[in-house]
Amino acid sequence: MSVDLLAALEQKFGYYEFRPGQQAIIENILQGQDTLGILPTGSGKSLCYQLPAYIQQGLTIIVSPLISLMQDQVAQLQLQGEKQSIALNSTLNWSAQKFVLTHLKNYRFLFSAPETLNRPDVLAALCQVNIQTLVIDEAHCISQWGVDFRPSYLKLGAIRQQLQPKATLMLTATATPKVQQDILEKLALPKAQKVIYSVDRPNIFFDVIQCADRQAKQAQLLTLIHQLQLPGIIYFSSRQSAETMAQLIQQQCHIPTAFYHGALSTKDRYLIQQRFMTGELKVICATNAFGMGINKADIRFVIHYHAPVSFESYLQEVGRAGRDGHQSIAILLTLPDESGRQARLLEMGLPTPVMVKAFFKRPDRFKNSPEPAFELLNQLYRNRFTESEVTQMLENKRREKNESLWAFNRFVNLTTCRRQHLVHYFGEQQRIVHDDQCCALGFDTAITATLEKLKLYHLNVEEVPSDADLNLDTLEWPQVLKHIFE
Amino acid sequence: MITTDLLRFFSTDPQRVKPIYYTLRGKKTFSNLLAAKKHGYLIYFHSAADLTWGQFEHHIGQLQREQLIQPVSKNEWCLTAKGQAWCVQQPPFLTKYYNGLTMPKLNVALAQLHLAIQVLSQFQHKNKQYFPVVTDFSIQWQVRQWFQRVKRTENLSQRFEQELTHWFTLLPSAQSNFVAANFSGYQFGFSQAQLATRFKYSAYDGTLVQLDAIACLLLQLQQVPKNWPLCQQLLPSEAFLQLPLSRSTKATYALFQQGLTLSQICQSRRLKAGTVREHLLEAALLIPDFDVTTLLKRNDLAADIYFTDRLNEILELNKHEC
Repeated sequence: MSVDLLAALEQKFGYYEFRPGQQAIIENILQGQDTLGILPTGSGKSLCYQLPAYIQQGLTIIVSPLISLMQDQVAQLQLQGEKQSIALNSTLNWSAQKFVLTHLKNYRFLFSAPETLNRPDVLAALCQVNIQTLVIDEAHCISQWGVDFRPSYLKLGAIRQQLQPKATLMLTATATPKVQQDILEKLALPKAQKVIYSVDRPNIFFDVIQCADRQAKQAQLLTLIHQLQLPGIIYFSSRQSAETMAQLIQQQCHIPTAFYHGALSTKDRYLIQQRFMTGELKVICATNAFGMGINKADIRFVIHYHAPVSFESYLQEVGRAGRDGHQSIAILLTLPDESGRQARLLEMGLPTPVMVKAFFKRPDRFKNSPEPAFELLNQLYRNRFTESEVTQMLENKRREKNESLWAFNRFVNLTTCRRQHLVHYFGEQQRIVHDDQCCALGFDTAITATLEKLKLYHLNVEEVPSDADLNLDTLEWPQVLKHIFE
Repeated sequence: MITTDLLRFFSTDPQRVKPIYYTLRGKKTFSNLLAAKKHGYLIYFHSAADLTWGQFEHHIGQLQREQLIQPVSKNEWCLTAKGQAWCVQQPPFLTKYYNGLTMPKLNVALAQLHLAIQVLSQFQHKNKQYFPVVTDFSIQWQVRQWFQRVKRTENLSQRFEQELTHWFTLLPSAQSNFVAANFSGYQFGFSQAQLATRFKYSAYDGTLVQLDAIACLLLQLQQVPKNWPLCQQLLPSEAFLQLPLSRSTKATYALFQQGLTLSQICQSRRLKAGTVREHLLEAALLIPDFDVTTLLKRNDLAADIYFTDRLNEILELNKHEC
């Protein structure tokens, strides 16, 4: 089996070996065993369902929480040359959805959200085809104990029973033991195999720099961009900051930089992704909308200009660095009074007790409210949660978020090994042997020395466009047509 | 959309702001359409479909705070002297071909064209692995069908390039440069945000530049289809150009053209008198050669002051246009 798997891996993906955890999961799937796979970000989780889909006949259904994530995954497959993939969601009009449902046999991969899968017409059509694997991506969303809980994921237990896939694969990068247990209970799969690999990414150095104030932080970022080996990603908590800093980096560092956030058109998002993937762009200033589906191996740094929304998000975001296994760095820039800002972010999108009361008094009034808080209440209501259950759940969620934030703040302010704290938070007993390639103890006051030590110091000079003809400042349409078609 | 994008909708004549918002959002009620036509911004119908009322109100407040517009009465506003000077110093992009009422699916046409260009460019460079710039399944499907039909055409890329060249020569060169730089192809592509910065357009103006260009192409395809064999197959003009009337209004208008009186139309379509009046007011406003006098003659419904007043207003408006 192993030899064949390696041959298939090389033939389909051009890799010569599996990353930790992949082979065990793939073997389980091929043997029809339900599996919970917890692999760190950047460990190649998608390959765990893609390879079996090429070896066995039948449809692989991937449940995904977000439309943008589905589209990214389909685009990623299309980039690999796979045309038999589709995202069944509200972006398809009625006739296109009907077409997909009547031609399911033509597809190898179908991405969808739980709400869509639960539709009678969708279920009926899917029950007519041979379903090889039901993949539940971001499986931690099913757990009420998790910070990313999505009520619609609760339907998946019943959906799985109706679809009767040969195997169910639950994938996540971050799940504490409590969340793991919850996932298996909610999907009624107590006997599922568990393949768990450490969340630790030894080739990423964890660093925190405390800046005196906002101006100092901005100056520190520009200095870092001058000195860091490229390419890299900088995360911001707002679209405006991402845009402003992208412009500043372009102007002051003369490094090809773009901003990326949820308000960009799909076309612009893909253009930026593509230019980043091909190396034309060196730095991306992004909100947390960036990264899902990004599979660039040589990202050397991830900087958090603002603190992430949770410890789980932090791990996901820094995990985009160093997928090629080479030394990389995660730097968090912090201010002495940053926790207040985080606490406010934490409350964003969560309904207050007053909102819950008002909603349950007249749910129909809030049916079409675009407010995220009411959207969440609508989802819970549709899933038949009572007012007291919702109140309790939100209280739990707030507590979980607080705990996650508290743990993250501890991580930021720690003077001992941050990596040890991180693996403990995610329920691992692993004992980290701290050395000078591991993380900064306390706040880093000599970042240049750190970068030199890690061999990530690289003085970036102004980049000259590789092809002067394609300089946007002098570009004329006849040149564009010539370049595109000739 | 940025605040000053809204200045183009104001003048020294007092006007209400709600019709501006509903026009941008694409809400088709007679009173909005009438106000938009009266103040000359009807072509911008549905050009900012995502704009929320909150954002719009914020922009209006900002314009007032910056003393670019001023209230004339409780609901009416006009440009201040400072606002007029701004419009002269920083004129917005003015469309020549675009009409949101008759071209409701220009975004789809543009996306189809962008994807087709990407597909052909990658095909020409023998590259099969790339991110498609459009993820919408139905657009991908249309382009795939088109590509299957045309891919055996001799010198395909060259011919397609010729058609695009022909199109760009019809536009001002700055507009062509902007539109072309936003194409994606083999190792090429600039995002609209980058382009807007380079060309000093707001995002809204950048969108209008693109929509106006694709509107020009569609009108050409309609007028001389034989000159554009590849583009015509990709963007059949009948799919993208339409009468400015909604389906139900069209049906009412068709009966009116057949010579039926208004009460006969009500009977035939089983509609209330008010609905038929609203349909015919819309037709009178939007169909250029609509005969208002005949409509008044054939009006055998009970007298309605609102209806006759609005018709007179349309007659007055048409006189000014003549």
